[in-house]
Order: sequence, then C-alpha cells, then structure tokens
Amino acid sequence: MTSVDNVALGHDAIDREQTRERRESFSAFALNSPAIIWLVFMAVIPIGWSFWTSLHSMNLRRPHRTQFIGLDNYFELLHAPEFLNAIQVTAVFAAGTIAFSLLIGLLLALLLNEEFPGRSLVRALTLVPWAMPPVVVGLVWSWIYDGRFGLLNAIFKSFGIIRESRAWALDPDFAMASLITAQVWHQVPFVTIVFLAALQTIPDEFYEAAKVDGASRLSRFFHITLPWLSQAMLIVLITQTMEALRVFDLVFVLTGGGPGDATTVLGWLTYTRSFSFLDFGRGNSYAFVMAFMTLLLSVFYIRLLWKRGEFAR
Amino acid sequence: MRFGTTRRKFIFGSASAAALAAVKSPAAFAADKGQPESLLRDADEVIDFRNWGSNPPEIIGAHRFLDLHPDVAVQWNNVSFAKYRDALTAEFVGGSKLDSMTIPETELSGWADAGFLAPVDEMPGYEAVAANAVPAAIEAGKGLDGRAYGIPYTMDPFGYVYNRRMLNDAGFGSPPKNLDEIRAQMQAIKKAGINEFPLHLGLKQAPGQMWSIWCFVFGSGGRMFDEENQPLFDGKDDTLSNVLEWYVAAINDWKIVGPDDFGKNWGDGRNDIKQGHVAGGCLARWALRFANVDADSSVRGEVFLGKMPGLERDDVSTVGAFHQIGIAANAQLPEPAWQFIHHISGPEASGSYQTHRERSIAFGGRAAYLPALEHADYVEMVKETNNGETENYNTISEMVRQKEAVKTYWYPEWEAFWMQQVQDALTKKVSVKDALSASAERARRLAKE
Amino acid sequence: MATIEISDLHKRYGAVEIFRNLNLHVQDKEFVVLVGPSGCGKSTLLRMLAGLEDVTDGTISFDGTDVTDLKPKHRDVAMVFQNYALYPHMSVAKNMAFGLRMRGVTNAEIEQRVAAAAGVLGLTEYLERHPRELSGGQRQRVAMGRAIVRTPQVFLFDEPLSNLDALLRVDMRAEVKSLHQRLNATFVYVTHDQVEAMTMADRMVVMNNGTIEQVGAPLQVYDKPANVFVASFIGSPAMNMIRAKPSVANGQKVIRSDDGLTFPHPKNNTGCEGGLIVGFRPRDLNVVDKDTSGAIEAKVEIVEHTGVETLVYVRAGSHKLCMSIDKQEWSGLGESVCVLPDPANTHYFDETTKQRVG
Repeated sequence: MTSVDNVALGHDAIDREQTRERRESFSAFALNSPAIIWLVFMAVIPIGWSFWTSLHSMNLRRPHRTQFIGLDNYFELLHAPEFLNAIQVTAVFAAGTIAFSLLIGLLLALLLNEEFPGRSLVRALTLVPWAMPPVVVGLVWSWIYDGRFGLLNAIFKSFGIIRESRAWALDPDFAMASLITAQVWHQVPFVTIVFLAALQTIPDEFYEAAKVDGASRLSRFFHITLPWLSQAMLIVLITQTMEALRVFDLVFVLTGGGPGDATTVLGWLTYTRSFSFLDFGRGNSYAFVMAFMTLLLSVFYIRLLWKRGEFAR
Repeated sequence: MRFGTTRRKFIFGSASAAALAAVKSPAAFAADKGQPESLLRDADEVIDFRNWGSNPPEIIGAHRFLDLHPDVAVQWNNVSFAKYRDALTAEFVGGSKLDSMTIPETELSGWADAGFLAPVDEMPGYEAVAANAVPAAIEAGKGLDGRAYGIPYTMDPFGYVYNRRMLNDAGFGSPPKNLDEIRAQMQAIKKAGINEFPLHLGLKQAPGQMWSIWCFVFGSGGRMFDEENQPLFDGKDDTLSNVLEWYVAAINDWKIVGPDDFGKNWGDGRNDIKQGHVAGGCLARWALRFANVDADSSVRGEVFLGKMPGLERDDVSTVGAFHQIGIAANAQLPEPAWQFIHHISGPEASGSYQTHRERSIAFGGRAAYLPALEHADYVEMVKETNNGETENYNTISEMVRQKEAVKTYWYPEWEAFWMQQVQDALTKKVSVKDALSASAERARRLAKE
Repeated sequence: MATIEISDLHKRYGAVEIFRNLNLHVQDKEFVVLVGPSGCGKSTLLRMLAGLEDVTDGTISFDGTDVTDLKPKHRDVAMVFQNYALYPHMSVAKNMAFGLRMRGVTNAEIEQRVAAAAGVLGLTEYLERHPRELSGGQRQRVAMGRAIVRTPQVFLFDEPLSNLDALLRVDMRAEVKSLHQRLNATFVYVTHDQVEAMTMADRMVVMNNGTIEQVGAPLQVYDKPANVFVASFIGSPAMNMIRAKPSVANGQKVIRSDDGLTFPHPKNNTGCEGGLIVGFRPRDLNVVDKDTSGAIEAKVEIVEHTGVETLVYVRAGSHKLCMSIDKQEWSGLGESVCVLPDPANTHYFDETTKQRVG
C-alpha cells in the first residue's frame, strides 16, 4: 500500500484495512495449520532432536552414561579413520554413479527422442528398473553377481573372459564397480525421463534455425540441445548426488560394506554406528555431516548451472 | 442426492466391516491353541512378554502354565530377530513396563549393565535350574558382575557338519580331525569334480557371524580374550593368527572356499549344505534337521555331525550360541513372570522341562538342560536328525563354550571392526598380523572408553 | 542476385499429397508473399525453399543453380520463424552472431556486422540482453537481425508477425517492407493474413489445397480475382456471391438467381450457357432509387460500424448481402432499401470450373 493510498483512505479505513489483513493472515495460518503441524512433528522436531542427540555422548548400550559433550562428536569424526575412509568411498561411489547415470541417461534420452518403430514400448521398458524398490534391485544384482550361479560369471565364462568364477560384489577389486553398476542401472531411467522430458520441450524451430544458420549436427547438439538441458542437468545432478550420498539399501543387500571396508559408504557407516552399535550420539553427528555435505554440493551445482538454465520459455 | 446417499452408505458399510474384522480377528486366532494370541484372556495379572518367535509346542506348553494359574494371562509379543535388539532397547530406554523377554546372548550383559534386567539368581528354584543346565549355558546367563540375569533358553553348539557321500566319493572314510585334514579332503573333493568350492566358512560381515573362526580357535584350544576381556591374539596366543593364515590359503591358494563366502552367514551355510552346494562347514547342530529330515532337502541322510577339528585335534572345544530368558528390572509382575519363564524354559512346576524339551525337539535341537537332552523323545529326535549316529552330538554338548568378550558393551563395535580387518586380511589387502594388531588395539581402546 | 525457379514441384508425405506440379518464378529482389488459409501448403513450400523439407519430385533453382538436394547451410538463405527461434541461453549479440560463427567468420567481422545490423534494427542497446528480457517486437527484430547479418540472397519469412499484437504488427509490416528496400534481396514471405499480403507484396501468390490459385500484384489480384477461391479469400469483408443462370427479362439477356434476383449479363458472354456465380464486393454495392433499372429490393437486417466505414447487411430474396458505405449513422433497421452492384466491378465465375469469365 502506498502512502498516497493511506492519505486517501483516512485513518478509519486504514484500521479497517489492517484488521482485514490480520484476519486474512490468521485464516491463512489456520487453513495451513494441518500441514504446518505435520511438518513440525514429522520434520522440525525430529531434526532438532536428532541434532540435540548429536551433541551428546549417547550409546543405548550404556544409557546411564549419556552426557552432553557439545561438538565433540563432530571434532572427533574429523580424526576418525573409518569416517574419513567412508567419505573417500562415498566420493568414489558418487562420482562413478553420477558420471555414468548422467552419460547413459543422456544417450538413452537422445535415442528415445528419435522416431523409430516400437519407441513407446522401449520407453516403457526403460522405466522398469526405476519402478523397483532399491532392495529388490540389490537382490536382483546379487544374483547376477553371485559367485556360483551368477549370470555375469556365466556370460564371462562363455566368452572366455574369465576362467574362474568370481563373487563380483564381494571381490575387493570389483565390489565398488558392482555397486556403482547396480546403482546406475537403477537410476538411469529417472535420468532418462528427466532428460527426455526436457528434450521434448525443445522447439523444432531452434534446430531448423540452426540448420539454416549452417550449424552441423554436432554444433546443434552443443549449442542448442546441451544448453537447453542445463536445467534438467541441475535436477539430475542434485537428485543423483543425494541418491549417491545417502545410498544404503544397495550396500545393505549387495556388499554389507565389504569386503573389508571397501564399500563402507557414509550411509552404511551411519547405520552401523547408530543401529548396530546403538551409538546414537556419533550416528547422528554422521548424519548431520552427510546432510551438510549434500547441501554444500547442491549449492555448488545451483551456482554452476542455475543461471545458464534460466530460460524464457 | 442419490449418489451422495450411496457413497455414505458405502463408506459406512466398509468402516463397519473393517471395525468388525478388527474386533473379531483376535477371537478368531484365539481358537488356535498353537498361536501366541491364544494366551491372552481376561485375568487379574497379564504378563507382558517379548520373544523373537514362537512355535506351537511352546505355546501349548504355555497353556499348561495358564491352567495351573487361573488368574494369569500372557501377552506374548513377537518381534523379528533382526529388529529384536533395537525394538527392545527402545522399549527399555522408553521405560516400557514389560515383564519378561528372551535375551540374545550378545545383549545380556549390556542390558544388565544398563539396569534393564532383574537378576534371577535369588529367585526361588534358580539353584535347581543351574544344576540341571549345561554349565556353559548357565555361564552365558551371567552379567559382568557375576550375577545371573537369565536362565538358558536355547543352546546351539557348533560342530563340523559334512556331507558323507561327497567325502566317500573323494575317497575318505571319516570326517577330518584337524585343519590339515579338512584341506586334504576338500582339495580331493574339488579335484574329483564333486564340488568346485566345497568348504563353507560363513565370512559375512554381519553382527554375530564368522562363527567358523571361533569354532576353529576354540577347537584348537586357543583363546582370543583373557578373563579381563583383554585381547590375546596379537602376540600372546597365536591360534587366531594361525587359523586366519590357513583361511588365506584356503581362499586364495587352494581355492576350496567359494568367492561368495564373504557374503554368507551361517544360515546360508545351513541352506548350502542342505542343497548339496557345499561338502562341509562349521554349523550349529540343529542344521542337521534341515539337511537330513526336511522334505525339500536334496541330501537327506547324507549329512553327519563331526566334532570340531582344530589345528591339531578334534576333541578340545567348540563355540556355541546361548540365548537366555529373563525378567525386566521394572517388571510389574516379577513373581508371575519368573514362574512363567521357569515354565517356558525351565523345569516347570513338575520338574519335567516338558515345554523346553518339546520346543527344542520341534526346532531339531537347541536344548540347554540335561533332563531335556537326555530325555528319550529328545534322544530319538537326535537319532533321526543325525542318521542314527549320536555320539558326536553328545560329546559336543560337553565341550561347548561361549564366545569371549561377548559380554562387554563394546563387543559389537569391536566385532564390526575386526570383521572388516579379517576380510581385508583374507583378501590380502593387509597382512594377518597387521589386521590382528589393529583389531587388538581397537579392543583395548574401546575397553578404555 | 537471386531469382528463384520452382518447377514441377511435388511433395508427398507417404500417401498424402501436399503439392503436385507446382511452378513459380520469383524475380531477383522481388518481395513475394505466399498467402492462403492454413493447411494450404504455403509454409511447406517455404520450408522446401529453405531446405528444411525434402522435395519429392521436381526442382528448385536459385539463380539457375539447382539447389533441390542442397542442405540449408549450402543455400544462401536466411529464415525468420514464426516463434522467432531465438536461442534462450544466448545474448542478443550471440544470437545474431550464431550463423556467422558457424560459418567461420572472423570475430572482428562478426562484431562489425552485428553492430551494423543492430544499428539498422534499433537493437544496439539490447545487444547484451537475453531474449527473455525483450518484448515481443524486440524479439522479432532480433530474429530479423539474425537473418540480415548474414546478408544472404534470399530471405524467407514464416508468418513472422503472427505472434505480435495488432498495433505492433502494422509497425513491423512497414519495417519489413523498408528492410526489403534497404537490403536489395529477394524476399519470400508466408502469411495467412491477406492484409499483410496486400500491403507488403510486390507480387502475391494465393494458394489453396496445395495449388497456386493466382499469382499477381496485389491490386491485380484484388480487382481481377482469377477464381471463386481468390475472390472470396482476398478482400474483407468477403465478396458477395450469388449463384445464377442465364435468362431473359424484358427482352434483355440477364442472369437470374433461383430466388429471382437478376443481374446484367456479362459483356463477353462466352461460355455462360450453364450456371454462373455473380460476385461483387461490399464496397461495390450501392443504395439506389427504387426506379433505377436492375435495382434489387432488400431489407436491412444488421448495421455495423467499423469507424472508417459502415457495414450494412441486407436480405435480398434468400440471400444475405453485405454492403460497405462511408461512415454514417444509419437508423433504418428493418426498412426496405434498393441496392445495385456496380456493373463495372461485378465479377462472373463459371459455376462448374469456378474460373473467372468475362
């Protein structure tokens, strides 16, 4: 409301106006209260509680020795070799899964964006892995990787690539690659769909204009398709990073963090710390560090890509 | 309007149907005397009980308890074993008023130390229970303070379980007496093309697994921790080191252990022997029922129990799992609860150990009391599951010991670290020596915390 | 220098035939407008000139060189699209420079040519903006700028003004026209808007159902529509059309409709033995005295004021006729008037062939 309006309205009118606004904002809150209450009880309080717990030395195996220790859990984990190892393992896993699901998802989306007979069937089939719960994905792959009856061994043996069976997910040289492959297989459909949706919004005119402008197929891809996909890329990068950083189910089913600590990612470490050792103080501090890392990476991506992706559509 | 009425009718109708179903279902179950729900009835005192499972003979036994105590009912809640520790810990911390529960062997001393459990050694009749139980099972019921916090519920000694047909086919007449003989037999089985990876070791990284290591260490007369729960395996006692060196060779050089063994727990081993996928391994005794009796076994009558081979001999010792049953520290009904567990897994008022015995027979083993182990029905069951050869079964009962350090509150955390180190050593990422000194150092550090 | 020669052009999508035997010659530096209702094939024809659509059969030549199978980048053409097709992630300058970059023009020259084009189009201060920060008219200018920096021989426009509001469209019409004069290049322009076609074209090509109905200067097409379609499509409000047959009245040869309206017989009466269609534009229908010979009695049904003119809809027999007169108050709703089409501007078409006669 501008000052001119105020003068014109006079004091009574202003009071009435303010009362009305107050009433409106009150009813807005009232109408939103179920959602707000839900959010407070399901998110705000648990998160706050979890952080409060992370400031304690708290092991449920010794509940009477719980005490407030401030940020000690956080300082301590900076020197904990298993935590530093888990960060390293998680980084390798994240880099591998993000790179491959991005690349394969993009290629698939480009393929599925072309006209060919049976395209809608292929599109539907592409989605199948995504529709599966991660635990089921893990089980499926655990059979593929199985050291005695696994499909992978059968295929490699029939081509003479290996002579002796390997338990791929439990082999120190291949466990991480096995985990990445399963995760990529699971995530590629999502990436493909996001890219495909973005591809389908690219007006044909852009390509035609570029053709008339003399752009080759390759430069059309790099100058039109790729920049147009940057917003989709952002979504994919953020979701894939989050998926990768929080991965747990696949590790649980496929490798159990092993062999040794070769696939002990942060999510797995946090789980064992909290639920195997019942060390909730440290477990919660791990979880917060994970969340913080995800946040940092997301901010980084947004900085990197958001402006480029802001199109007038 | 017509539609509105129909919809309201529909909603009302389905809601009433759901409500009816909800009210009716416990009653429907109650008719089945083998189900735990049937133990709940109108009574002055309701014992709140937790278990990770139940079998019909056990529930039928509990009904005999209800017949003796007309004023008592039992609220029997099952929680899956996988969630049992977390669920019960949450209940204890939350101040839930449960009366009694089964206690996993890994949790007993921790729960006792935390004040969740009531000592039972001054309860009436405890002396008789202790006198009749296998000594190791009674020891396992004691907390770090030496007091008993539970009475034996199950006892699962591990033996060397082997497929005799495969052994015979490879030219051997008797089970191995030491690790060298295991190696020789397994290599022969492998060479004869009977089985590519004939030995199960169960080296999965998971709480409470890697039983075979404890089996061979105890079988060799070795120790891993001393009385004060200080590690011995980084210099004072070489048994673990020698066993692990043998494992390294078995996996990497002789290749008698499958590459998938790092993903197998002992339950997987039980299935593998039952399906003829392996020729031998360290398994709890009741695995024999699965292999020799179960209708879907592909090796019925071929699987036998050997004693526990060590580095040299097979008549020294073996490891076992010992779950307990006990009473919560803030039980509302400690007296009836004691009588109840005394009945469920103890002598009962009659002194017959009937419920314990019948439950154990239904499982195919697991009894922890001599009167049950020696009972004719039980002996008959052992005979059936062991193809008539019961000698080793009885010998193992006398040799069995519980894992060491398992009563410390830090055991799970140490175990997880140790398992990582073991896998790293077995995949030759680190040497056995380094893995063990790191594990020992971790144990000492955790003990100090 | 660029003439365009389209000979015997065929276009089929599978079994669907879009064109058949299309022939058209475009002079160098000519401004040709392809006009017709949607689906008439005008855009397809333009896209074939650009090389964006394959030619099924026939040839397209620029300056006598066969370009039928050349890719767009090898034909010296630029195209302005209906939705501008500005690359959203590039600034105005980069959008305009894109075609030059793709052709490997040096940076210095790109900069100079973009600056020049921006000057011509009044875009200089917007060069660093992105398309999303521009108004519709500015985007349109950028799209044209992108075409002109390349100084091609042939400019192709695909309904470039249809997304602009009416006022802006009038401005841009003039701008495109003056651009044509300045650039001295051949323009081929597609629109469905006959006003655009009339106002901008040197020659207009009226298309319908994949065939060219008439080619000619705007006034020529307006004054002498070659057939019923052109007559009805060009001109607003549309020409009045009445079916009639030769007849005799008062000893004179006339033509008469079923409901008794009579019109003079066309002067050169060749081939009007069968049915005819009589057409006259609303502007050529006048109010006359009752006694005027050939006057048609009619009743006023609707009066519309457009500002410049007043449209009077009258009913004569079973026909509803539109009459356009200079702006005036008209209060006689429902009253009878006598009207008469200007005989000099009355058009006759063969009812069977739909072609102009006389």
